Amino acid sequence: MSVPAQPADAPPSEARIAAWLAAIGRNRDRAALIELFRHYAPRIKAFGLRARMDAGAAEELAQETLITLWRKAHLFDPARATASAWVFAIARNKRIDALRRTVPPPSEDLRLALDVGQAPAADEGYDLGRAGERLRRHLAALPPEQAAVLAEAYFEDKTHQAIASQHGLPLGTVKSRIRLALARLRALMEDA
Amino acid sequence: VSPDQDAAESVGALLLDFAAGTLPRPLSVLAATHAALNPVAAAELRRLTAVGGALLHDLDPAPIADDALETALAALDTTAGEEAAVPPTGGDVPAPLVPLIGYDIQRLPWRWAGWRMASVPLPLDDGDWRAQLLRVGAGARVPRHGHGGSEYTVCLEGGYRDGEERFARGDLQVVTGGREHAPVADADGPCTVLTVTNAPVRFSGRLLRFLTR
Repeated sequence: MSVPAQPADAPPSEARIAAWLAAIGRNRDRAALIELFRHYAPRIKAFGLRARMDAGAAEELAQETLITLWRKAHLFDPARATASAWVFAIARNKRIDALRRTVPPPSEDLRLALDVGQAPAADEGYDLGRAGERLRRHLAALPPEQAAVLAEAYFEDKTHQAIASQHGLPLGTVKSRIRLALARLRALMEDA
Repeated sequence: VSPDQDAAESVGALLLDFAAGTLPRPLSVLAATHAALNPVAAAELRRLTAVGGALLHDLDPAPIADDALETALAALDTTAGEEAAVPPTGGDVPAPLVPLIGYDIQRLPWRWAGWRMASVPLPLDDGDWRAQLLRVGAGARVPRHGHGGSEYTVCLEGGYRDGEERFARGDLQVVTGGREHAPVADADGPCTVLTVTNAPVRFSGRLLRFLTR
């Protein structure tokens, strides 16, 4: 598969990330890993910092995630998950393991299979990559207070219950902001 | 907020926290078990993971050390990719429970847990959270009880009724603080569930309260 061209400083599209993963999975393509690293390593480090890892541990998280992507790229199936969801699932599992010390069951591979691996393949004509692009555009357009609680729910190492008490917001308010944000995103993911 | 609405929200919140990777271990296994058995939950989990993917993709980058790329490249092996270490499924035990209990639910060290009930604690303690398998004989009723905290239950085999609601294999029930209930196993066979709680059970009857004091 050839990697689609795009301007050098634009964020990579879903199709481009998927193509990098395919190039690593099939050809052990180091150039594709370097591209993947350039986009993702600083963001995965930020993801670790948001969970209060220290800078060294967050950087290690980024490196370990990229090394795992190298080892598992051939398991990525673009018909079953968006490339960005797959990268996120691996980074998240690495973060759980780093924060919990002992590896909690279910194992990393099992968690990966559960949330992205066993999905039924998309119907013909349903372009998951395009659905992923639309998802990102709509996330960027969410009202700021909804986007903020959603980002906290995903990035801080705490349940949304803990988020509510941290902000002194009633739990109901946090829940309804998250619910509203997810309802919009869900509607657009179903409407392919 | 009605109890039903509250329970529905708790289910949504459970899957979100699972996708985000913030659940305590017993709840993580419970959420994974629910998703493994229930296609609606599995689809929701995939959507929530896609949202996580979009958020990570557009997260503000943190500056990274100049030699970080070199270090990562040095660690790459050149051999073929690893196979996924997912235990083969088979039998009735959902995949997330296989590493904990194996493939044969009948041959676990069940121990007596009251009238026509048996339990197996799972080694997943995390803070206040505890997980156990509970088996209730066909048609038997669990004595009326409440919880100081929350109780999450996924039905693994058989079925049960709790008030107006019915639960079958793969279904998830959430009972939040304070509510009392007395579930009844279906008459056609024993019912086995995975249950996770963060506070001890409080029986309502005076005799049981005395016995479990």
